[in-house]
Amino acid sequence: MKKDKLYIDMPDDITIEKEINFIVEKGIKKEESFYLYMKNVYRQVGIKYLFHDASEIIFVTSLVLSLLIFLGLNRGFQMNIRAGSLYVFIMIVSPLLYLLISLVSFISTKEKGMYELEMTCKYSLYQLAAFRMFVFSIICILSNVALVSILVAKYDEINFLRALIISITSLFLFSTLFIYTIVALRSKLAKYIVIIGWIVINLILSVFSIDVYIKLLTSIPIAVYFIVTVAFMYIYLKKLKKLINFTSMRGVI
Amino acid sequence: MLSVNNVSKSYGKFVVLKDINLEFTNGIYGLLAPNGAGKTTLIKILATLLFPTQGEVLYEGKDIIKMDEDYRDVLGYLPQDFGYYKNYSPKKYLLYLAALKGVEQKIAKNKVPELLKIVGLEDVEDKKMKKFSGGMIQRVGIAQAMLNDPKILILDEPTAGLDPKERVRFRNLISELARDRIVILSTHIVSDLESVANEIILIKDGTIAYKDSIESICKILEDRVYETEVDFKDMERFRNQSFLLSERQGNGIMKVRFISNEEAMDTWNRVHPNLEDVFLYVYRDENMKGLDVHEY
Repeated sequence: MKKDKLYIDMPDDITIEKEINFIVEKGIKKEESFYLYMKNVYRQVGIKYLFHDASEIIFVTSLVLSLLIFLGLNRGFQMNIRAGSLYVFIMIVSPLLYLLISLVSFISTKEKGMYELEMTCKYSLYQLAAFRMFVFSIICILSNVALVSILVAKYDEINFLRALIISITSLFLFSTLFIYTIVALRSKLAKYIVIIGWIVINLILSVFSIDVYIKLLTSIPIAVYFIVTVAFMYIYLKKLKKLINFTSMRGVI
Repeated sequence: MLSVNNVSKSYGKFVVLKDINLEFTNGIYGLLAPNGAGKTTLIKILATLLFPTQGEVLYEGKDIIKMDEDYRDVLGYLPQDFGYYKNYSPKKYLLYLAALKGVEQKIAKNKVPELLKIVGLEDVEDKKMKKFSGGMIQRVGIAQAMLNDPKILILDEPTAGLDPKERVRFRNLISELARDRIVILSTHIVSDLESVANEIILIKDGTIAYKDSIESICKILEDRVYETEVDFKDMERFRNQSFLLSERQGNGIMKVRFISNEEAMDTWNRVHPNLEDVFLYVYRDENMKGLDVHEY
């Protein structure tokens, strides 16, 4: 019996290329930009649920701001004030609000036992944290502007622009360090050391070598502060993006 | 299909799970093991809360860790101990979790009352959860696991705190849900699984001891489970000779259910082994190993 020759209808190169592109497009997940991601989270989760603990955040923000303003305007503080030491004060306290409101949300979720549940939702705790921390940094910039404005109004010896840029540089230096501890450090102790270290090192510097510290803060040109701030803002946003896909080697718990 | 391929989990030198291989298709799977056997570790690996030290878990052929939010999008999970915001009402709590699960607000607003009705909490949907009993909280937990209409529903000790009526309601609900999804129930309460599970997975010493239908698993003890009546004075001797499954008093005599390899006596009634018998047998103490029966 004569065998019929098997005919295969081979597609042409253009069709093959088209099909490959179609399969690749379907199979590979497109990486979203940070902006698009934030927009999607905002749209899908909504501001009401992104800041479900808004009352706690407002409480902590008001408390910290009131304390800092009270401290800044306190008579005892005024009497001990030395030229330039206000810049040291601004440098130390600027990231405190950011630290506290970020910690409040993490601690509250863990303490209430919501952590496991929130980590298995489509938008996990860390993904929401990235959005929240971005908003917290904006809240902190605004709070720092308010604090610096009050201090400038009270003390003639400080320059508004320098005080403000020190405050923002300090905020982004610290928040980059803070986010680094979340994504890169595994040990809880190491995380605490880094966070507490910021305050302790700054306090040691201000107690034991206040003159050197003041000189350092006042002699750095504002342009340098600006460059450092922009650089740390960039690293901070990169790290926030990393936080979206954060999982440690062992899992999330 | 969800497949667990050669999964091991260890913490330093302590091995919790050893080379686990499992496959799940639509239906109810009962994960049965005593506390500390590695049940919750396996559940947490399936929920991506823990990553395996070795091996992988695939859903529809894709690694669940790499799938990231796409996997969590099809997952419903009820942890053993789950938290809640005490000042939230169940409605507010479920709407919040629905938002985190990426359920559109319009759909969530219809879905939440529907789920609260299913779990029998529609009358208290606006009451604060801090006033709820353990059973009511557990029912909110069950409702939240179903918010995103998950393809994989993992429930760790779901019936803890539920009264008998609620348990029946839960079992009926799960049977209904399992028609088009994978339901994995982890429990050490055998009766929760007996009437609903398509397959039982028994974990022992970090490995899968058995994975089969209830009927097949019960064959392990076929023709070896008996019931009889024993005088109180003979009980001590009887206890030493047989592997007792249950004993209860009645009319001044002890009615016992036991496993025996010996030839049946006239007073012994052979009975069908049930899942609880197998559970007690598989997880018997080391000093009872002499009662090993031929396994199929």
